[in-house]
Amino acid sequence: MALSWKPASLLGRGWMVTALLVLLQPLPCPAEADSSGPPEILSLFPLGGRPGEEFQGTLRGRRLEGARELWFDSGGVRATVLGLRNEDGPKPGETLQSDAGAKPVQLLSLRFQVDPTAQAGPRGLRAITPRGLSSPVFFHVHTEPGHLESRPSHDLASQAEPLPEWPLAVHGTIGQSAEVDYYAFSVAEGERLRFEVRSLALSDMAITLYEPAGSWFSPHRARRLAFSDEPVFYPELSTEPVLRHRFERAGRYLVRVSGFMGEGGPDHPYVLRIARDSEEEKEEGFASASIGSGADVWQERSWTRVLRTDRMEALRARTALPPKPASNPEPAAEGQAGTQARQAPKAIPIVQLDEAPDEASEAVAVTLPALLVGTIEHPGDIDRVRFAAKVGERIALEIETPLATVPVFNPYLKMVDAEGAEVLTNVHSILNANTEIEKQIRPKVIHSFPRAGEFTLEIRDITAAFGGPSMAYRVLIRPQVPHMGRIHVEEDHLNLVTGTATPLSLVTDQEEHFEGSIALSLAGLPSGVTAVAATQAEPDAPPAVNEGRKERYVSRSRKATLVLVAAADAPPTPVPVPVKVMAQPMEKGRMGRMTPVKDLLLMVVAPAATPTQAALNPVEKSGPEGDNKRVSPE
Amino acid sequence: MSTHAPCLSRRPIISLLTAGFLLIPALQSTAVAEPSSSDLLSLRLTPEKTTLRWKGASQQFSVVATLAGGRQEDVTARAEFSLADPAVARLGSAGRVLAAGDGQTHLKVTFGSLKAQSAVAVVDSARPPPFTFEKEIGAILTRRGCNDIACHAGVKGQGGFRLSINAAHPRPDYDWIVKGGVFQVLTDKPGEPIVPRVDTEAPERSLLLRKPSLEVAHGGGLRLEKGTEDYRAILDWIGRGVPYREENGGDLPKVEGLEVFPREGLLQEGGSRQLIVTALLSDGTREDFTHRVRFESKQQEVAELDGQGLVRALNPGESNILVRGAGYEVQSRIGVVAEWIPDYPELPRANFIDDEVFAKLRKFNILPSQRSGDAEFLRRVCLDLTGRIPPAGRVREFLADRDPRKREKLVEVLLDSPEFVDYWTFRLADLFRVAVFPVGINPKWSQSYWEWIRDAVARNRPYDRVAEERISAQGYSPASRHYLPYLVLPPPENMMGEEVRVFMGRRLDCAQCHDHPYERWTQDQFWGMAAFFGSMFRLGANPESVVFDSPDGREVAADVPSPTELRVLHPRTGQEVAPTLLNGTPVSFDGPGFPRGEMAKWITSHPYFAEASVNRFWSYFFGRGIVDPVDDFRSNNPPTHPELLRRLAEDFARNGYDLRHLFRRIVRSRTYQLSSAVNDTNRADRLNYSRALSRRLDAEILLDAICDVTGVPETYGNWLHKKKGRGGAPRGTRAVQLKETDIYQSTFLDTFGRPNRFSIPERDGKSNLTQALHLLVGSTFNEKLWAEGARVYELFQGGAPDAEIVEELYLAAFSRFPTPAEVADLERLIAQTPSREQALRDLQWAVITSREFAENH
Repeated sequence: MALSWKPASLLGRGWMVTALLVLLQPLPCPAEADSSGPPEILSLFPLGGRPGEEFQGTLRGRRLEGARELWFDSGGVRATVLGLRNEDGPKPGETLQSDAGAKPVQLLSLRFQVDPTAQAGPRGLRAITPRGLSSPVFFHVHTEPGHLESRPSHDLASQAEPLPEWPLAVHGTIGQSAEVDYYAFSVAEGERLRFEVRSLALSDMAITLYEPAGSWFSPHRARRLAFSDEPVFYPELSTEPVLRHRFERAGRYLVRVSGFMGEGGPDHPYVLRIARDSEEEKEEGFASASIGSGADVWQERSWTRVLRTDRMEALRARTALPPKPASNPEPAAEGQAGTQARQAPKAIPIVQLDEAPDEASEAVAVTLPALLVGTIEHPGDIDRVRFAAKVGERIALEIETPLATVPVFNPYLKMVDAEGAEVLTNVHSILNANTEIEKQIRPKVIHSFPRAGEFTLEIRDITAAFGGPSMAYRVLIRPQVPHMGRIHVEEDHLNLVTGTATPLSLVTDQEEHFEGSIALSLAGLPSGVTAVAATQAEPDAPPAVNEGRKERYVSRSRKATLVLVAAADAPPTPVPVPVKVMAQPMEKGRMGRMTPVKDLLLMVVAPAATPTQAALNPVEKSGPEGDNKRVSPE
Repeated sequence: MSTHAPCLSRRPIISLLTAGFLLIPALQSTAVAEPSSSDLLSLRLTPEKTTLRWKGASQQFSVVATLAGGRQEDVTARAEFSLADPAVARLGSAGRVLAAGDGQTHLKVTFGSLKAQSAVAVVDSARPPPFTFEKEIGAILTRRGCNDIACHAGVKGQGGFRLSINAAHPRPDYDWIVKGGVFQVLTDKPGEPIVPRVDTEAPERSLLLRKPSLEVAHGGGLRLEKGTEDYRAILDWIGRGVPYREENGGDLPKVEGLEVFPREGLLQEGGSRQLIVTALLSDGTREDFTHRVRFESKQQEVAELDGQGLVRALNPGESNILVRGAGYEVQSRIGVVAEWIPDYPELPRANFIDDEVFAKLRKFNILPSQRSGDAEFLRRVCLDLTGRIPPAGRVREFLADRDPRKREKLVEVLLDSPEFVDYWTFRLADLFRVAVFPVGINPKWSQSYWEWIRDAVARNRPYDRVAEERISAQGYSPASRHYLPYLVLPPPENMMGEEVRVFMGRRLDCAQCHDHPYERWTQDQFWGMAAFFGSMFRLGANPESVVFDSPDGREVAADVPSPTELRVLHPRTGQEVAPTLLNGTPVSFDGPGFPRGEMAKWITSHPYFAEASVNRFWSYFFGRGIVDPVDDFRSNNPPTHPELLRRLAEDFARNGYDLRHLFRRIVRSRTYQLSSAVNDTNRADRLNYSRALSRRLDAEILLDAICDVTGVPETYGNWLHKKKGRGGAPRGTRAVQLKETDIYQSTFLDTFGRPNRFSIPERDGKSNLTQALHLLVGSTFNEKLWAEGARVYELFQGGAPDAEIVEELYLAAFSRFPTPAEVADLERLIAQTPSREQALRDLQWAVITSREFAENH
């Protein structure tokens, strides 16, 4: 049975527990009832399917005994458990993703049914077992016909596996180290195709296109046409390759999928999508995916958060005190460079800087708040605005990079006074653990003016070597709004054994001198489960390093712990229960709006004995790939 | 798969293979014969005119006779000299003329039936020359070797006494002598004891005299004998109160350069040649300095000198004669031949490379080898353009082709091949140091850097653009990754040193701590260039580090300045150094770009860039650069063919720095296509491209060749993912295709000289004992012999006769058919071996371990 979670109205439920940080009390942390750990999914094959298809698949994982069904974080896909068996030991040359001494790997055979009306896109998939909910893996619903890799070895151009007509989604596995998979396909003259690979988190695949033209030295030599392996290895950026190519000549070509540095093994499945690449379809392909359910939508310090003209309202919604009287200036005429556009009441005026003069002496005059919109059009381009500030005035600068972002586009902001002296930048200097000064640009910086005057803000790319339409920015200059920032919760699911307790750690950001408290609570807890505030012992911290003027560049953070307690008689939950982490700012006796900050999946499980071999459901001995049969709706 | 060990039965086969390889006849030497009168064509007296100024002034002359066939011979010592007016000048020894009285006269010379004359003018003959320290004392110190790099002009001087090389900086030299003090590195201040090295009260007690005359112990030995002219000159100078220059001397002209005549000369073994050295003075006049300089032969087994500039030819070869004096250094290139070729033939030429190379060969009386045969050319050009030996089938095809333009056509095929891209990506990845390094640089970085290089080769991007992009790389761009080899930016001076070395062929490193001892690079120039890299900064932690140049050249986020300032401080003066090009032009931060970007443009548009680039690439085809080492251009390491280097560089620049164009130009030349077989005249020549020099294949090329010949590919595992398991290169990957060669384990590659790329790779191609052992018992040579799919195994299994197997192996490995004698001998040896399988294994082993296989020739 497939599950999909639909948010319900949770606020009215009686078993909501509120924990105020100011009342945190020490609470003994119960030992884990089951020291062998939660169920874990290592990989899935195939990684997805097409609407209307029905086919078999295999999950590799550990501690999956008794798995009875799968859980999807959105609808359209169902899966039936066919059986579970232990996998033989690793084969020679196989790469294991996890430590070798762990429990034996298990294979969970499944039958997937993709609803004919299922929307294309990724779905988080987890196994429901007597131990609780497993870690997730992605299942991609794709609109193209699927094709399963069929040749056991096709890692030479001369052995390329022929593909049927594209568009299609090819499901394969880089089964062992140094393996690559060649596929052959045909195109017409002038055709533009888009190749895209999705794989699991530990994989980092690359795509290479070849023309099997041979060479003077070897008739089997393929001539490389194009290559794509996202060059970045950067936090929050995808390493999945996308390759667009126009084929000058009609004919047969090859596409190769390979693992990073020759990595491979049974947990390196992939899906390769080949489709026509046209202007209209440019942004199509695999939808972007992020594991975890209901991630906090509030982004305070991300380069790609959207800064809108209602930003002030959004910020005030995260405060406890009423706003100070607005001091928005009368908006100016709309649309012209260096002028402030007329907006709806209380909306922040937009200032277009694309046509702004390059001369330092011709900085565009603005009044605060203002949302500066522009582009670093050419290498060395500097956009400038000037504004007046009063003594003690507190401002925040927020930067968004809607197209190219860090580390490709590195916006550098510098504020100088009337004499040209540097007042503020968005570069944070810290002394790192190696006692070196390390500087990092930040997407937000705050400042209090010690004296009044006219100031100029310069916006540029820090390299002075790049520019172009993709290097667009939005910079918001606004008064500070002390508010509750992002609430960080690492877990995305919890398995709670009856009669035990589990801590849930949270980190709360307090932005722009927010001095109040933040009340944290859980909504939607199942019967027999309570949450109480707690403290946790922290390991001794290393000596503090010089963090520079940290307060300008990063929020103040506090740690909090909630302990979830499952009563001994708490009824086990057959399926995951969605639980919301809620936060509410509190200051000077006033409570602000309660805000959902994270969705968790919670399962209450019985302290059952360790499942034995008998719990494994025997299935056929043939390999998982051989069992996969695809039923097309056509 | 068999793990067959070598056995004694291989020896006959090995002997057979090596015996037929390039036997070289001995070269006979011939003594110099006196020219007969009928051979004399003309006589030249040099200089044609001279002006002797001041009392005691002199001029060295040389007399050169041109003989039939164009041969020239220095007859200075044997010619008869006379002066028309002895009151104006008088004759010294061996062609030297000294001033006697003001006036004009002629020097006449007679040799055999020929005569020549020069005009001699004498002025101010009664006045002693105005004294200057640099010209008088400096010259003595130079001539006596006191200010040689190995003596007091070393980095730290000797015994605390520091002089500038060749008296290049006379004022500090004067101070060290007259004021005293102990030299200290990185400061201008002298250390104690500050005791003058001269004693004006008792000049003969001066340390400056007592040390070199060994009156007191002197590590440099006897340098200045008491009573010599130089000794007396110094004694007199001290006695006169150690003036720096003559008072009321007005603006005395300064030496602004030296000239040596001849700059290039050819001698027969046993012959001699008088050099003349002339100082170019700041007032436009010239002065004979032949007797005020120091001569040194770089190849003393070829030529030697006396202290007066007379070169004596000892053995065939070529030697640079270094001439040092007055702070300058010039060179004369002297060739020595065993015998003259009376009727030097006209040589067919393909392009300007041949014009230049053959002109010098003619001048040096060396006959080039014959044009290579098709088989020799085929193997060489395939290896040089693609790093591969041609397949047996292609060899047959090429050898059978009767098209007269088949070589040109083949070159085009190779230039357009994917193997060309593989090979030159490998070469540039070596030069540009693509590696992961033991500290674990993010391999995403090294791979994107490698891809950037590959893309440049595949698209044939102009090399100046590639260089400019690398030098000025910023941000997260692939090329910027090379500035973070160890996750942090190296010091500015290291970054600058590498870029200048790679793209300008100059090593400035010595000037980091002191003015360059051999060159005129100063410490100021070094730090001025280093300052271009001084404003570079790494933004963000690994892996998101971005390389940038601080805007305005100032600290970003100045609220917390870096402990390592972005300013570059001169280590000696402590003053901030502004970014300044080698030519002295400062570059400010006020322009539209950024200084490092401006420097990149300057470097790639400077003539040094083109000449250093063509020189480096030339070396890949000939085994040595026109300047060698290829990144060590300096005045005392001059090009063997300066005009060729200039024309190649011009051609490269004029054609958009197109590497394929350059390579095409080189491999189409007859010079490149000469055979490696020697003749009587070019046996000793290793500098003038009179024949192809055999070069050992680099480790990666050799391993790929072994795989090709045996038919058994290599597998490469990497250690990068120890934690998660082993990674590896895809099946069929060739050694030259490894992106970061340093992470792939290979005993063979390590043994045969794979560089680790910690620094700019230098492959010496020398053999060693480990390689020999690997030949005998290494897995690479033995496990590929009889593996399933191995060439010989397949032929054996297919029932091929011995002769066919021998032919196939020869074609695959040597790109030639075996001679009938070789086939017969090998058939006999195979028949004599009890096991045919064993014999065929041995044959294959002998082939891939032979010198003919392991070398490009």
